[in-house]
Amino acid sequence: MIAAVELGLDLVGGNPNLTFIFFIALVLLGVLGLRFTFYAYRNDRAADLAGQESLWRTLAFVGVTAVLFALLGVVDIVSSLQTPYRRGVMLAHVLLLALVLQSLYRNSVPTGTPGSGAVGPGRPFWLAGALVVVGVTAGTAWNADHHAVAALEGIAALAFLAVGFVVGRRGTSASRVQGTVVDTLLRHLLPVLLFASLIPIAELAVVAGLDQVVVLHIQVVFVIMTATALMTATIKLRQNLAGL
Amino acid sequence: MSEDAAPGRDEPIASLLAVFDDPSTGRRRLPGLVGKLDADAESVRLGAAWAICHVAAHLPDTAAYLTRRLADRIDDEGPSLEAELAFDYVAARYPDAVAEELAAMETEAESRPRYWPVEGSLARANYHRPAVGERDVGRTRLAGEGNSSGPQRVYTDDGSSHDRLQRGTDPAAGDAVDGDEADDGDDVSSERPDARSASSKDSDGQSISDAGWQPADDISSVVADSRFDQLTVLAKRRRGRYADVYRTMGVLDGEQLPVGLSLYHRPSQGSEAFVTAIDERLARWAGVDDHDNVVAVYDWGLDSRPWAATEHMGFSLADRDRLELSEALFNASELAGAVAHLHENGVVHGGIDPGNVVYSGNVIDEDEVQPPLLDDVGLLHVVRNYFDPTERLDPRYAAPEYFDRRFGRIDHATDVYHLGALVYLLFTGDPPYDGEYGRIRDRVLTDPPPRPSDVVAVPDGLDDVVTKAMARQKLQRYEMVTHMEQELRRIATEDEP
Repeated sequence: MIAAVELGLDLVGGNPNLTFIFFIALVLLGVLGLRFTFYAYRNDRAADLAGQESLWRTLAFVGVTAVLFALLGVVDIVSSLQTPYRRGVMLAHVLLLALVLQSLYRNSVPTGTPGSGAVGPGRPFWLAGALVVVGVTAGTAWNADHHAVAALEGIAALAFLAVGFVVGRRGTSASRVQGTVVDTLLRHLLPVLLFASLIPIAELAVVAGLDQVVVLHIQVVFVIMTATALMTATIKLRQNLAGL
Repeated sequence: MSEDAAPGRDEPIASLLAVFDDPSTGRRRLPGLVGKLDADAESVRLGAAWAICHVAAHLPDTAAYLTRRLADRIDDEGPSLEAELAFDYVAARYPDAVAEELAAMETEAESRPRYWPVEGSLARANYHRPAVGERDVGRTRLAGEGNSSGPQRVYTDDGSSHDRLQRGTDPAAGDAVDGDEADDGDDVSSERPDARSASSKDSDGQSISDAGWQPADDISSVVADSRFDQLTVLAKRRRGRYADVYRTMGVLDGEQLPVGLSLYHRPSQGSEAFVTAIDERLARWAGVDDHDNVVAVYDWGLDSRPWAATEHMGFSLADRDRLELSEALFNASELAGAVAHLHENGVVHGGIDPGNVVYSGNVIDEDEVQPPLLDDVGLLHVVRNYFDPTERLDPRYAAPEYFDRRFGRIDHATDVYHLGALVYLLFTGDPPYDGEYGRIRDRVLTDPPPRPSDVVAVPDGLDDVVTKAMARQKLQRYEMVTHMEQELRRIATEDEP
């Protein structure tokens, strides 16, 4: 199968300019995602504390999904291999970001302490989210109805964004969190979640009838914004690592 | 000003009666009670001895603590009858515990000083004991402050080969610190009749005939090496956690300065590296002492042994009882501001505990709230590598990273934790954790941060400040002390009537 793959420029939306910008954006996202993954991993190794492993590993997976999405996108551009299923990877990225925000909040305001209340949705929501991710990946891989998959993708991303945003905002406004390192990390990850989720959410415009090329022009902006937001979040990871 | 009249302290008799009413509270009052064995009034000293016996009778587990505290006093050059009385009672009531503790003290003394190669680790319980060997604390007055009565003594180095020392023995200069103009802070007249008689043999009152009170020979070289025109030792040596400290009066460009002269303890091994490291830390400390709440470093040097001449301080937070709410808020805010200043200048204190929060002790109005100052800035980073860290930092206030490397390095977040522990103490009067070393370690590493409101009524928001500062994981601590300072100042503002 790999032998059948040919190297060569595959224009995004048939537009050379858009292809060039997409290429740059994806490379940027890949590099910064890799850096993010590296520091999340280093924090995980250095912290070695019960209760923090899941946080750092989830953050590492956030980076991995960003890298994978970027890598598949670049492969799509520079070869004959088509990788539409990368949209599922981006949805997984958004899901993991929302999960991380909830983990950060829960770690800082343990259940049972004043102000903890109900901190975000429970396990069923996340399992359902994972199923949707699998569904979108499978749907795009097997060329299912484009509009149906795009709708599922966009709505799921909206739900993840909503959950992540609400939990994140509650975290940053909780007096138990304000001023702490967690507070800063939440504030750094919220923009990542916002811009990353807008990439799949933009697919809803296609369902609404907007031209795919126009949507691609919008999406590339969000890819760049996601990459830059990841960069600032990485700074926080580096700072934390320095204290470990 | 007497110790018992110091701001923020309980009226002594009321404090003693409180122990009688409820001996179970005696555990946290013990440091104060032991400190009262040095009170000027005989009735207070006797009452304190009685109260200590009363607490010991009800709380057998205090025997070990009392053995150490009282033994130190009995070992002193001028043991008080009251301390002996209390010690005899404890020894008679708990002979096994006292014997065991004395044996442990003997073993520790033989093994000290020790080289401590394990960086970032606390290994043994031996908490900072407030007022042990600090019998001047809280009731010192400096030369020239007046309000003095009765005889007093001024001690100077008598090394005649040093010019500055010779200036120090100049009768004209001595006038400034002699006679009625100088203080009687050490209360020599009442506690050390032999010393007074020795003093009377000297026409100028500045020579020393009591070997037990004589400054170390190191002082001569310090005087010669320092930038002071004159450095006059006013009181006997006090053995601190980091250094032997002399209360002195320095003259610099014609201006008199109360100076605490610290001669740092030298390790038995790695002395050269220690000296270099302590020099670097003192330089850093001097670089940040321009803040009102940081003890000023006037001069330092390495001749003979590392020394530093700093602003003289009267007593520490460890010597104080629980503070009034407004004073606790003031102290907490000021200390946070001081730590923020250190961090802004790239300095991590690393050893903030009640023994390193000090007060000048110089007040005109007894109701005046004294500003707290940070002492020994950054020195623990060096000292803990050469000496037993548990004797330089009170484990009850130590951050988790001191107990377990997995919690990270000693950095600004460590100061945040220690500051949170101090805030807890300021408001509750108790340390955040107490007990044997192992118990403290386990609780620091596993328990959620303590909340002051579980002990006393505190202003809204204070629980959050303490629990955020004392979070086990650095992730959950304040990122910057300035955040903590802002929240403390906000609480102080909201608490104002």
